Amino acid sequence: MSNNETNESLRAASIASRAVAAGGGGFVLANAAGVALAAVLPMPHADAVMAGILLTFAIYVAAIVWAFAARSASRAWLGLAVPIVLSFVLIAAVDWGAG
Amino acid sequence: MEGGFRKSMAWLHTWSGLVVGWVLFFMFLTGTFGYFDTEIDRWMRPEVPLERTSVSQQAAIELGIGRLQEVAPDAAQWTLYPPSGRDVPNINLYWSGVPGLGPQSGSEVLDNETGKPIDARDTGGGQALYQLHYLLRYLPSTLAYWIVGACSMLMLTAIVTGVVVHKRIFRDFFTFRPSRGRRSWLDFHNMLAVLALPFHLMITYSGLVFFAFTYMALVVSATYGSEAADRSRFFDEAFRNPEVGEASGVRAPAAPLVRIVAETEALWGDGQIRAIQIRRRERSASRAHRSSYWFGRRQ
Repeated sequence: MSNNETNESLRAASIASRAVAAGGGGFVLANAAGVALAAVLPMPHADAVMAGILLTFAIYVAAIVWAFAARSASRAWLGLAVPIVLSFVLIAAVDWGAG
Repeated sequence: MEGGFRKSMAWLHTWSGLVVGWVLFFMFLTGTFGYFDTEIDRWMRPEVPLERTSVSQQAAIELGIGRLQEVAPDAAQWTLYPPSGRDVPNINLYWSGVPGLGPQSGSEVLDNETGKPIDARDTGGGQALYQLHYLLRYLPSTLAYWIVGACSMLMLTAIVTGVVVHKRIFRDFFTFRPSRGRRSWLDFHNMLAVLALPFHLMITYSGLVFFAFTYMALVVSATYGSEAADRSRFFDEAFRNPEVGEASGVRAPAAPLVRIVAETEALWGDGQIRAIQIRRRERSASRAHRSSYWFGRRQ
Protein backbone atom coordinates (compact mmCIF):
# COMPACT_ATOMS: atom_id res chain seq x y z
CA MET A 1 0.00 0.00 0.00
CA SER A 2 1.28 3.43 -0.86
CA ASN A 3 1.49 6.15 1.71
CA ASN A 4 -1.41 8.00 0.14
CA GLU A 5 -3.71 5.02 0.32
CA THR A 6 -2.81 4.46 3.95
CA ASN A 7 -3.64 8.07 4.70
CA GLU A 8 -6.93 7.74 2.87
CA SER A 9 -8.00 4.66 4.79
CA LEU A 10 -6.87 6.21 8.07
CA ARG A 11 -8.98 9.25 7.30
CA ALA A 12 -11.98 7.08 6.42
CA ALA A 13 -11.59 5.13 9.66
CA SER A 14 -11.37 8.38 11.62
CA ILE A 15 -14.52 9.72 9.98
CA ALA A 16 -16.40 6.46 10.60
CA SER A 17 -15.31 6.49 14.24
CA ARG A 18 -16.39 10.12 14.66
CA ALA A 19 -19.74 9.38 12.97
CA VAL A 20 -20.43 6.58 15.45
CA ALA A 21 -19.31 8.82 18.31
CA ALA A 22 -21.59 11.61 17.06
CA GLY A 23 -24.66 9.46 16.39
CA GLY A 24 -24.38 6.84 19.14
CA GLY A 25 -22.27 8.58 21.76
CA GLY A 26 -24.16 11.83 21.24
CA PHE A 27 -27.48 10.06 21.77
CA VAL A 28 -26.27 8.45 24.99
CA LEU A 29 -24.90 11.79 26.22
CA ALA A 30 -28.11 13.63 25.32
CA ASN A 31 -30.18 11.13 27.29
CA ALA A 32 -27.81 10.93 30.26
CA ALA A 33 -27.56 14.73 30.48
CA GLY A 34 -31.34 14.99 30.10
CA VAL A 35 -31.89 12.62 33.01
CA ALA A 36 -29.26 14.46 35.09
CA LEU A 37 -30.89 17.83 34.37
CA ALA A 38 -34.30 16.41 35.26
CA ALA A 39 -32.79 15.31 38.57
CA VAL A 40 -31.01 18.55 39.54
CA LEU A 41 -33.07 21.42 38.06
CA PRO A 42 -34.73 23.30 40.91
CA MET A 43 -38.35 23.14 39.76
CA PRO A 44 -41.34 20.85 40.12
CA HIS A 45 -40.62 17.32 39.01
CA ALA A 46 -42.65 17.26 35.82
CA ASP A 47 -41.27 20.64 34.72
CA ALA A 48 -37.68 19.53 35.33
CA VAL A 49 -38.24 16.42 33.21
CA MET A 50 -39.79 18.59 30.53
CA ALA A 51 -36.87 21.05 30.58
CA GLY A 52 -34.41 18.16 30.46
CA ILE A 53 -36.16 16.59 27.50
CA LEU A 54 -36.36 19.89 25.61
CA LEU A 55 -32.62 20.45 26.06
CA THR A 56 -31.58 16.96 24.92
CA PHE A 57 -31.54 18.00 21.25
CA ALA A 58 -29.32 21.00 21.92
CA ILE A 59 -26.94 18.75 23.87
CA TYR A 60 -27.09 16.17 21.07
CA VAL A 61 -26.16 18.70 18.38
CA ALA A 62 -23.33 20.06 20.53
CA ALA A 63 -22.03 16.50 20.89
CA ILE A 64 -22.16 15.98 17.12
CA VAL A 65 -20.26 19.23 16.53
CA TRP A 66 -17.69 18.21 19.12
CA ALA A 67 -17.21 14.73 17.60
CA PHE A 68 -16.12 16.30 14.32
CA ALA A 69 -14.30 19.29 15.77
CA ALA A 70 -11.99 17.33 18.11
CA ARG A 71 -8.37 17.00 16.99
CA SER A 72 -8.50 13.21 16.79
CA ALA A 73 -11.16 10.50 16.89
CA SER A 74 -9.99 9.26 20.26
CA ARG A 75 -10.25 12.76 21.71
CA ALA A 76 -13.76 12.93 20.27
CA TRP A 77 -14.71 9.77 22.17
CA LEU A 78 -13.01 10.98 25.34
CA GLY A 79 -14.81 14.32 25.16
CA LEU A 80 -18.13 12.48 25.06
CA ALA A 81 -17.25 9.88 27.69
CA VAL A 82 -16.32 12.44 30.35
CA PRO A 83 -19.69 14.29 30.41
CA ILE A 84 -21.54 10.96 30.18
CA VAL A 85 -19.73 9.69 33.27
CA LEU A 86 -20.30 13.05 35.02
CA SER A 87 -24.01 12.81 34.26
CA PHE A 88 -24.17 9.33 35.75
CA VAL A 89 -22.28 10.48 38.84
CA LEU A 90 -24.72 13.36 39.23
CA ILE A 91 -27.72 11.06 38.84
CA ALA A 92 -26.27 8.59 41.34
CA ALA A 93 -25.49 11.41 43.81
CA VAL A 94 -29.05 12.76 43.63
CA ASP A 95 -30.43 9.24 43.96
CA TRP A 96 -28.24 8.59 46.98
CA GLY A 97 -29.15 11.94 48.52
CA ALA A 98 -32.83 11.16 48.07
CA GLY A 99 -32.22 8.00 50.03
CA MET B 1 -10.41 17.15 12.17
CA GLU B 2 -7.29 18.26 10.32
CA GLY B 3 -7.37 21.77 8.95
CA GLY B 4 -8.80 23.49 11.99
CA PHE B 5 -12.19 24.10 13.49
CA ARG B 6 -13.80 26.11 10.71
CA LYS B 7 -12.71 23.69 8.04
CA SER B 8 -14.02 20.64 9.85
CA MET B 9 -17.30 22.46 10.47
CA ALA B 10 -17.53 23.27 6.76
CA TRP B 11 -17.02 19.58 6.01
CA LEU B 12 -19.71 18.61 8.51
CA HIS B 13 -22.05 21.25 7.07
CA THR B 14 -21.65 19.84 3.58
CA TRP B 15 -22.18 16.22 4.51
CA SER B 16 -24.92 16.58 7.09
CA GLY B 17 -26.83 18.55 4.48
CA LEU B 18 -26.08 16.25 1.56
CA VAL B 19 -26.59 12.80 3.02
CA VAL B 20 -30.32 13.10 3.68
CA GLY B 21 -30.99 16.28 1.74
CA TRP B 22 -33.59 14.69 -0.49
CA VAL B 23 -35.50 13.20 2.43
CA LEU B 24 -35.51 16.63 4.07
CA PHE B 25 -36.66 18.24 0.85
CA PHE B 26 -39.51 15.74 0.67
CA MET B 27 -40.48 16.50 4.28
CA PHE B 28 -40.41 20.24 3.72
CA LEU B 29 -42.41 20.05 0.50
CA THR B 30 -45.19 17.81 1.84
CA GLY B 31 -45.14 19.64 5.16
CA THR B 32 -45.63 22.93 3.35
CA PHE B 33 -48.64 21.48 1.55
CA GLY B 34 -49.81 20.44 4.99
CA TYR B 35 -50.27 24.10 5.97
CA PHE B 36 -53.09 24.15 3.46
CA ASP B 37 -54.62 20.78 4.40
CA THR B 38 -58.08 22.23 5.04
CA GLU B 39 -58.08 24.13 1.77
CA ILE B 40 -56.84 21.11 -0.22
CA ASP B 41 -59.50 18.91 1.36
CA ARG B 42 -62.07 21.55 0.48
CA TRP B 43 -60.84 21.77 -3.10
CA MET B 44 -61.03 18.00 -3.50
CA ARG B 45 -64.65 17.94 -2.39
CA PRO B 46 -66.43 20.62 -4.39
CA GLU B 47 -69.83 19.23 -3.35
CA VAL B 48 -69.36 20.52 0.21
CA PRO B 49 -71.62 23.58 0.65
CA LEU B 50 -70.04 26.97 1.28
CA GLU B 51 -69.11 27.48 4.91
CA ARG B 52 -71.38 29.74 6.84
CA THR B 53 -69.62 31.61 9.58
CA SER B 54 -72.53 33.73 10.71
CA VAL B 55 -73.57 31.20 13.37
CA SER B 56 -72.57 31.85 16.96
CA GLN B 57 -70.42 29.22 18.66
CA GLN B 58 -73.10 28.87 21.29
CA ALA B 59 -75.61 27.80 18.61
CA ALA B 60 -73.09 25.56 16.86
CA ILE B 61 -72.25 23.79 20.11
CA GLU B 62 -75.92 23.16 20.82
CA LEU B 63 -76.38 21.71 17.32
CA GLY B 64 -73.34 19.49 17.81
CA ILE B 65 -74.44 18.19 21.21
CA GLY B 66 -77.92 17.53 19.84
CA ARG B 67 -76.44 15.47 17.04
CA LEU B 68 -74.18 13.53 19.43
CA GLN B 69 -77.18 12.65 21.58
CA GLU B 70 -78.82 11.34 18.44
CA VAL B 71 -75.98 9.27 16.94
CA ALA B 72 -73.93 8.23 19.96
CA PRO B 73 -75.99 8.53 23.15
CA ASP B 74 -74.04 5.75 24.93
CA ALA B 75 -70.49 6.70 23.93
CA ALA B 76 -67.95 7.00 26.76
CA GLN B 77 -66.46 10.12 25.28
CA TRP B 78 -67.64 12.95 23.06
CA THR B 79 -65.40 15.55 21.52
CA LEU B 80 -66.82 18.56 19.76
CA TYR B 81 -64.90 21.16 17.80
CA PRO B 82 -67.04 24.23 17.14
CA PRO B 83 -66.26 26.15 13.95
CA SER B 84 -63.32 28.45 14.63
CA GLY B 85 -62.14 29.82 11.32
CA ARG B 86 -59.68 28.55 8.76
CA ASP B 87 -58.60 25.27 10.30
CA VAL B 88 -62.02 24.15 11.51
CA PRO B 89 -64.62 25.67 9.18
CA ASN B 90 -67.46 23.33 10.24
CA ILE B 91 -68.70 21.61 13.38
CA ASN B 92 -66.61 18.49 13.93
CA LEU B 93 -67.81 15.66 16.13
CA TYR B 94 -65.94 12.64 17.42
CA TRP B 95 -67.13 9.93 19.71
CA SER B 96 -65.59 6.78 21.14
CA GLY B 97 -66.26 3.97 23.57
CA VAL B 98 -69.65 2.93 22.27
CA PRO B 99 -70.73 -0.28 24.07
CA GLY B 100 -72.05 -3.17 22.04
CA LEU B 101 -71.05 -4.92 18.86
CA GLY B 102 -71.18 -2.06 16.36
CA PRO B 103 -68.38 0.37 15.61
CA GLN B 104 -66.91 1.79 18.82
CA SER B 105 -66.12 5.21 17.54
CA GLY B 106 -67.03 7.59 14.77
CA SER B 107 -66.92 11.11 13.53
CA GLU B 108 -69.05 13.55 11.58
CA VAL B 109 -68.78 17.01 10.08
CA LEU B 110 -71.91 19.11 10.38
CA ASP B 111 -73.25 22.04 8.44
CA ASN B 112 -73.00 25.02 10.78
CA GLU B 113 -76.49 26.26 10.12
CA THR B 114 -78.63 23.20 9.62
CA GLY B 115 -76.71 20.87 11.94
CA LYS B 116 -77.08 18.11 9.36
CA PRO B 117 -74.03 15.97 8.54
CA ILE B 118 -72.28 17.08 5.38
CA ASP B 119 -72.51 14.42 2.74
CA ALA B 120 -69.33 14.43 0.70
CA ARG B 121 -66.91 11.92 -0.76
CA ASP B 122 -64.01 10.66 1.30
CA THR B 123 -60.70 12.24 0.52
CA GLY B 124 -57.14 11.84 1.68
CA GLY B 125 -56.48 15.28 0.32
CA GLY B 126 -54.54 17.69 2.47
CA GLN B 127 -54.35 15.37 5.49
CA ALA B 128 -52.54 12.71 3.44
CA LEU B 129 -49.96 15.27 2.34
CA TYR B 130 -49.64 16.64 5.85
CA GLN B 131 -49.11 13.21 7.36
CA LEU B 132 -46.69 12.25 4.62
CA HIS B 133 -44.13 14.66 6.02
CA TYR B 134 -43.69 12.75 9.28
CA LEU B 135 -45.18 9.31 8.53
CA LEU B 136 -43.49 8.85 5.13
CA ARG B 137 -46.36 6.50 4.23
CA TYR B 138 -45.87 2.79 3.39
CA LEU B 139 -43.52 2.54 6.38
CA PRO B 140 -44.47 1.41 9.89
CA SER B 141 -45.09 4.64 11.79
CA THR B 142 -42.51 4.04 14.54
CA LEU B 143 -39.79 3.42 11.95
CA ALA B 144 -40.89 6.55 10.09
CA TYR B 145 -40.66 8.63 13.29
CA TRP B 146 -37.07 7.51 13.83
CA ILE B 147 -36.05 8.12 10.23
CA VAL B 148 -37.62 11.57 10.34
CA GLY B 149 -35.90 12.19 13.68
CA ALA B 150 -32.46 11.19 12.41
CA CYS B 151 -32.89 13.40 9.35
CA SER B 152 -34.05 16.30 11.52
CA MET B 153 -30.98 15.90 13.74
CA LEU B 154 -28.80 16.12 10.61
CA MET B 155 -30.73 19.20 9.54
CA LEU B 156 -30.12 20.77 12.95
CA THR B 157 -26.44 19.90 12.62
CA ALA B 158 -26.35 21.50 9.17
CA ILE B 159 -27.96 24.69 10.52
CA VAL B 160 -25.65 25.00 13.53
CA THR B 161 -22.49 24.28 11.54
CA GLY B 162 -23.71 26.59 8.78
CA VAL B 163 -23.83 29.45 11.27
CA VAL B 164 -20.47 28.47 12.74
CA VAL B 165 -18.61 28.50 9.40
CA HIS B 166 -19.70 32.04 8.68
CA LYS B 167 -17.21 34.73 9.46
CA ARG B 168 -19.42 37.49 8.20
CA ILE B 169 -22.99 36.31 8.48
CA PHE B 170 -24.35 39.86 8.39
CA ARG B 171 -22.31 41.06 5.43
CA ASP B 172 -22.94 37.87 3.47
CA PHE B 173 -26.62 38.55 3.71
CA PHE B 174 -26.19 41.64 1.55
CA THR B 175 -23.78 40.04 -0.88
CA PHE B 176 -24.79 38.71 -4.23
CA ARG B 177 -22.33 38.44 -7.07
CA PRO B 178 -24.17 37.34 -10.24
CA SER B 179 -22.62 35.56 -13.26
CA ARG B 180 -19.77 34.11 -11.24
CA GLY B 181 -20.78 30.47 -11.50
CA ARG B 182 -20.41 28.60 -8.24
CA ARG B 183 -19.69 31.81 -6.33
CA SER B 184 -23.12 33.14 -7.31
CA TRP B 185 -24.83 29.96 -6.19
CA LEU B 186 -23.05 30.13 -2.86
CA ASP B 187 -24.09 33.77 -2.40
CA PHE B 188 -27.64 32.79 -3.21
CA HIS B 189 -27.47 29.89 -0.74
CA ASN B 190 -26.21 32.21 2.01
CA MET B 191 -28.85 34.81 1.30
CA LEU B 192 -31.76 32.37 1.38
CA ALA B 193 -30.42 30.48 4.38
CA VAL B 194 -29.75 33.55 6.48
CA LEU B 195 -33.06 35.17 5.54
CA ALA B 196 -35.07 32.21 6.84
CA LEU B 197 -32.63 31.11 9.53
CA PRO B 198 -34.97 31.69 12.50
CA PHE B 199 -37.69 29.75 10.72
CA HIS B 200 -35.39 26.88 9.80
CA LEU B 201 -34.11 26.61 13.34
CA MET B 202 -37.59 26.79 14.84
CA ILE B 203 -39.21 24.30 12.47
CA THR B 204 -36.37 21.80 12.92
CA TYR B 205 -36.16 22.01 16.70
CA SER B 206 -39.91 21.99 17.20
CA GLY B 207 -40.19 19.04 14.83
CA LEU B 208 -37.79 17.14 17.08
CA VAL B 209 -39.67 18.26 20.18
CA PHE B 210 -42.91 16.99 18.64
CA PHE B 211 -41.62 13.43 19.00
CA ALA B 212 -39.36 14.10 21.98
CA PHE B 213 -41.28 11.62 24.12
CA THR B 214 -40.56 8.94 21.53
CA TYR B 215 -36.91 9.79 20.87
CA MET B 216 -35.95 10.66 24.44
CA ALA B 217 -38.39 8.38 26.25
CA LEU B 218 -35.58 7.44 28.60
CA VAL B 219 -35.63 10.84 30.30
CA VAL B 220 -39.24 10.27 31.33
CA SER B 221 -38.87 6.62 32.28
CA ALA B 222 -35.68 7.25 34.28
CA THR B 223 -37.60 9.65 36.49
CA TYR B 224 -41.14 8.32 36.48
CA GLY B 225 -40.81 4.66 35.50
CA SER B 226 -41.35 2.86 32.24
CA GLU B 227 -44.89 1.51 32.68
CA ALA B 228 -47.70 3.06 30.65
CA ALA B 229 -49.28 4.29 33.89
CA ASP B 230 -46.04 6.04 34.89
CA ARG B 231 -45.91 7.80 31.55
CA SER B 232 -49.47 9.01 31.78
CA ARG B 233 -48.79 10.22 35.34
CA PHE B 234 -45.98 12.35 33.89
CA PHE B 235 -48.19 13.71 31.11
CA ASP B 236 -50.98 14.53 33.58
CA GLU B 237 -48.50 16.44 35.76
CA ALA B 238 -46.60 18.13 32.95
CA PHE B 239 -49.64 19.24 30.98
CA ARG B 240 -51.72 19.80 34.11
CA ASN B 241 -54.57 17.65 32.90
CA PRO B 242 -57.60 17.95 35.12
CA GLU B 243 -58.27 14.87 37.18
CA VAL B 244 -61.26 12.78 36.30
CA GLY B 245 -62.88 11.68 39.54
CA GLU B 246 -64.23 8.24 40.25
CA ALA B 247 -67.75 7.51 39.17
CA SER B 248 -70.19 7.95 42.05
CA GLY B 249 -72.38 5.09 40.87
CA VAL B 250 -75.44 7.31 41.02
CA ARG B 251 -77.01 8.45 37.77
CA ALA B 252 -76.65 12.20 37.70
CA PRO B 253 -78.26 14.70 35.36
CA ALA B 254 -75.94 16.04 32.68
CA ALA B 255 -74.11 19.22 33.64
CA PRO B 256 -75.83 22.28 32.18
CA LEU B 257 -73.63 22.72 29.14
CA VAL B 258 -75.32 25.87 27.88
CA ARG B 259 -74.43 27.64 31.11
CA ILE B 260 -70.85 26.35 31.09
CA VAL B 261 -70.37 27.53 27.51
CA ALA B 262 -71.82 30.96 28.35
CA GLU B 263 -69.55 31.26 31.41
CA THR B 264 -66.51 30.20 29.41
CA GLU B 265 -67.26 32.69 26.65
CA ALA B 266 -67.65 35.42 29.25
CA LEU B 267 -64.21 34.48 30.55
CA TRP B 268 -62.35 34.00 27.28
CA GLY B 269 -64.37 36.12 24.86
CA ASP B 270 -66.90 35.11 22.23
CA GLY B 271 -65.91 32.38 19.82
CA GLN B 272 -62.75 31.43 21.72
CA ILE B 273 -63.70 27.84 22.57
CA ARG B 274 -61.74 25.41 20.45
CA ALA B 275 -62.77 22.06 21.87
CA ILE B 276 -65.22 20.55 24.28
CA GLN B 277 -64.73 17.08 25.63
CA ILE B 278 -67.33 15.24 27.64
CA ARG B 279 -66.42 12.00 29.36
CA ARG B 280 -68.72 9.63 31.11
CA ARG B 281 -67.74 7.18 33.73
CA GLU B 282 -69.83 4.06 34.17
CA ARG B 283 -72.62 5.94 32.43
CA SER B 284 -73.64 7.41 35.75
CA ALA B 285 -71.68 10.48 36.62
CA SER B 286 -71.06 13.03 33.95
CA ARG B 287 -68.75 15.93 33.98
CA ALA B 288 -67.85 18.59 31.54
CA HIS B 289 -64.36 19.92 31.30
CA ARG B 290 -63.20 22.92 29.35
CA SER B 291 -59.90 23.08 27.62
CA SER B 292 -58.32 26.37 26.75
CA TYR B 293 -56.43 25.04 23.76
CA TRP B 294 -56.09 21.90 21.81
CA PHE B 295 -52.78 20.42 21.04
CA GLY B 296 -52.29 18.72 17.71
CA ARG B 297 -54.30 18.80 14.57
CA ARG B 298 -57.52 17.37 13.36
CA GLN B 299 -56.84 13.87 12.10
